[in-house]
Amino acid sequence: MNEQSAANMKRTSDASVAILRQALSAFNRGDVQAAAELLAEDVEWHEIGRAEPIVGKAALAARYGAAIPGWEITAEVHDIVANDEHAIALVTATAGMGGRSFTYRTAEIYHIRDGKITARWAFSDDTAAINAFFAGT
Amino acid sequence: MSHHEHPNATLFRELDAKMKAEGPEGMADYLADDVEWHEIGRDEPIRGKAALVERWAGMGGAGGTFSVDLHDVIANDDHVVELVTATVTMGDKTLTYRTAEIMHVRDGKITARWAFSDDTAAINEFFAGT
Repeated sequence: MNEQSAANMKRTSDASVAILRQALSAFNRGDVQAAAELLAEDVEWHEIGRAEPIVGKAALAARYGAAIPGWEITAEVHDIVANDEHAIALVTATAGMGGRSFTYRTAEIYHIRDGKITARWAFSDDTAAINAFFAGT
Repeated sequence: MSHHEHPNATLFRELDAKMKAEGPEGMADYLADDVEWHEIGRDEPIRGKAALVERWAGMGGAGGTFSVDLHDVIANDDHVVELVTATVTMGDKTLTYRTAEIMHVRDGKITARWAFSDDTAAINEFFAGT
């Protein structure tokens, strides 16, 4: 490990933080197109409560682009930590749906390769409550 | 493993090695006296190093085994996140689950910890009554 390679890896983690901030900002604006541009074509997107990931940028964009009346989520980014393998966003999300509101915290764990998100997992401290709120969506 | 990592990440790799050698009690030297330890399934954190060490000692006495595989540790000045696969055995039951262990660190000591997972209901069911 020399100083040059260490500096390269530092740039990688800084770039991952920036990509996640862009993606979450686009998500909050409801700008599916801008968010999709940060996804790899073969992205694997794991959601709490789903046994199988959503695979592929097109399938994911379709899921989040679908208009669900009265449904919205905003993600407040508490912090993002990253190294050259993983980037993790600590998020407080607030979901509104059908006159109901629910606030929950997640650790969003990402793999990022060549500036694109290739995989994502979401962990939380009470996934049963999240599953109950989103049941049927 | 990252080859360029924050000093807090290096600290937690050392801690992982110590726990593998000594068990959960190996973490005691890394806890602040006033640590707040949030566990999945508990509304209130365990407060204080003494209470936490006592809890771990009690779990060992129940005949359980607990092993942790550290997948990665990621840190900045404010947070350390460990990505962990844990396997716990109690009696004839075994559960393997993944967590993100989120910690605050001050002066080389853990001051707060939260655990997030992708299926906390399964974890709560397994540990019910402990």
